[in-house]
Amino acid sequence: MTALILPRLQSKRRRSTALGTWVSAALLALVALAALLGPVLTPYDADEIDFAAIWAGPGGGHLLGTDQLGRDLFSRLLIGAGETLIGPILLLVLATVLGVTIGVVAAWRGGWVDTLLARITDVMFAFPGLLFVVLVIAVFGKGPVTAIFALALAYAPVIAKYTRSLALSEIARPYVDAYRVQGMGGISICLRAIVPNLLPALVGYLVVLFGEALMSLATLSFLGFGAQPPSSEWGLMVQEGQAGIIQGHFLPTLIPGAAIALVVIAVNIIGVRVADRLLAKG
Amino acid sequence: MLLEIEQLHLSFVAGDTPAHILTGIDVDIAPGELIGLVGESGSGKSTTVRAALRLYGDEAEIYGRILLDGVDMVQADATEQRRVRASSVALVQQDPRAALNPVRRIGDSLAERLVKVHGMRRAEADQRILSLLTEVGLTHPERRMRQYPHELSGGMLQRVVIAGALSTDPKLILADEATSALDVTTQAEIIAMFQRQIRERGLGMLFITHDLHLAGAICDRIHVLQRGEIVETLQRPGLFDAASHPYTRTLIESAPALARKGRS
Amino acid sequence: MSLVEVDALHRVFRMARRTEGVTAVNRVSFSIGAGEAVGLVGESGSGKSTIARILVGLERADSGTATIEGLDCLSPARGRAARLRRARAVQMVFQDPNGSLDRRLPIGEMLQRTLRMHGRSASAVAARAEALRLLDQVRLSERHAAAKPHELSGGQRQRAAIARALAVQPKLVVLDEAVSALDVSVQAQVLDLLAEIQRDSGVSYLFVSHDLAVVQQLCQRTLVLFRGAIVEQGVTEQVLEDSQHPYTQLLIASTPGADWDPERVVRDRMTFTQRMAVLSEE
Repeated sequence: MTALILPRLQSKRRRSTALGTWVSAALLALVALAALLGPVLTPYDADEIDFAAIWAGPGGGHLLGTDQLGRDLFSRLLIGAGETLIGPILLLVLATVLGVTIGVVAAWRGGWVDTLLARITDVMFAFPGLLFVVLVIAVFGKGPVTAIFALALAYAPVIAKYTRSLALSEIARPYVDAYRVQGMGGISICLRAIVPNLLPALVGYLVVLFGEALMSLATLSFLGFGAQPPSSEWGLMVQEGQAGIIQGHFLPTLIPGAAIALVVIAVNIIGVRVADRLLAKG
Repeated sequence: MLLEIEQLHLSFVAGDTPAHILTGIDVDIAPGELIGLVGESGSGKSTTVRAALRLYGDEAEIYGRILLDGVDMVQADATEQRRVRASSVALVQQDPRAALNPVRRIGDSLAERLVKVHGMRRAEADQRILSLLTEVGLTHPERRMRQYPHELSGGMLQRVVIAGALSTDPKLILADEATSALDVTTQAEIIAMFQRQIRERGLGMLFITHDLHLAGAICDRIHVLQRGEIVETLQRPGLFDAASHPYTRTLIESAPALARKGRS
Repeated sequence: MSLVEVDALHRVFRMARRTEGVTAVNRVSFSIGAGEAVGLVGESGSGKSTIARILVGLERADSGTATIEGLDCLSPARGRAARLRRARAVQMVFQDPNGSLDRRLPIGEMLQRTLRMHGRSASAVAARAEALRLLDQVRLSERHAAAKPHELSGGQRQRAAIARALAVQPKLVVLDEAVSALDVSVQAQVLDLLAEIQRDSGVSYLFVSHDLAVVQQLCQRTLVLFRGAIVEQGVTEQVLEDSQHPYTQLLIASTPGADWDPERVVRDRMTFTQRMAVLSEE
């Protein structure tokens, strides 16, 4: 009866976030462009070794300088963007399919199914994520594909828990009863009504998770479990550039590191915005 | 007069276009009076109450005069407004569950306000709450004080909220759909208790409801609200018979009345 | 044999195992004829909603029988064909017009999906035409077909919900407090609409409500429910104007009206409670 919005609060917030949102969006658009067109745009190949220009500083023929093998950092950054971004996307798609299925089934069936799934996700939760991933890699061998699968398994319980709580309140709404009275089966209701209605809230969450996934994959690459040389995945670039720090060459670590940080921050800013938008619309 | 609202206008400033919600509202309540405010959803019933208590912030622009227990609520500063809200008036709303802290015992919830806001000693506050719970017709008041809100039914909780409202000795009660969610038998009991309180304590009451028949059965005077404007004020005697405004007539005609045999 | 036959319906809710439980529905028997509107009145906790939900299959019964045109509505519908058959026997309109519509679907789309699910329309064009006819039947126009639920008023939403129930062409429509959330003027219109639909289509109603005046307006017969048991039933005028059971009398006395006296209701209720206590001891 007294559903009143507070207009003042809203307008204040909008103004302060607008700039950050636009900058973030522009940055992400650039990175996405680099990922798509990287190999065409770059002046050098990613693995073009030039022993004459080891640890070269910025300027001259190299925009951002070179690394320990004289490879052009700018080119490597652009070409690596693809692998760095595709990894977390694949990871999230996999984790989402798994997590949403578990979460919705648990919420819909309730009872022992819910309890069993809750126990499984609890065990996954209790296990430190990175340790679990390292364990999987130890068994199946290192490499980007294993890293993605392992992390997807580690992320699935988080998404399942979140989905379950959303789905529980969704299932309690009378329209779900209305579908049942209409004669719709459980699977149809879940797939055609509940999941689509959860999507707005879920997508916002996933965008935020994307930043985390990117970090995790970069971490694994840094530790040597993910991308393997001569890849120019950003996490691996940071690791390879490490040797230069002692000699005073900071750029080879700083540039990919900063790229990771900026993308993660931008994704989070956009993610929060997108989540707000989608929820307001729903 | 306990409450004098004179030519109250209210609009919400959302962006560039202000939305006019209330237009020229006039309501007077004297001690011992039960005044009805009737209208459909969105007519501005609740907004009137919230505006009278100055519960809106900067988002609402208010013109007009609101005298609450002699204090001009439009001119008064925040401290003064708070003082009036804490001591002279009590607001009882539709959902008692929203008014009580779900994780605290009922006795604690009610006594806290007396101790913290009104500086009463805890033992004294407990004593007062206990006698009020009895007065509002709650059975086993001692036990109720130790219970949590979820252990009580909606009707019992509304009594608890009313006891809490009476605990600060207000002069005016604003009842906003206070009995709308209750069963008819429980509603009758709450109303009977309200009427007793009005009689014995000389309280004034603004009774907001969508139920025209209920308002007609108990109110001394009924203001009919449509789109933020009082379109008609019905007086006793006569009340509905004297209704002339087409909107009032529509309301009366569309509210189904129970046809029944004359009761002995 | 009437259209709806309910015999000795019984349901006990248990909070935990080995506790005694609350008898929500206590050996309830009634029947509804074809084209008849039957009111089910009682206060909150009287079990009226439980009976409604059992009939449409959202809740199970412990014992008893219930048939609609010979179809057993207590055994759970297994398989698509059984679910659809059951849906065509009985439909439901819920109290909350806000939550009982899928917020993602425009009204017209919602109706078309229902029609297609039940094979009521051979083609997409036919489904669209039939959806518009249904909207017209509940006094909504083509304009509303494109609207999502949040763009409609409470009364319009409830009309859409009624149209959805009619789309299946059920024998019985269970209306669970279907007009309680509406403003009086809207309520009057929806009641008129319900009466008109009943006249034209010959559908039967089970009208669950706490509001005696509304029941009096729509229903030919009335059942009065107290603590899960039917204490009085008969032709509506008889039940309301010449009630035999003290509980019905109490309900009538409690309903606000011209010569309503709350103090008297309080006394009546006290007498009634004492009488019930004596009765239950015997």
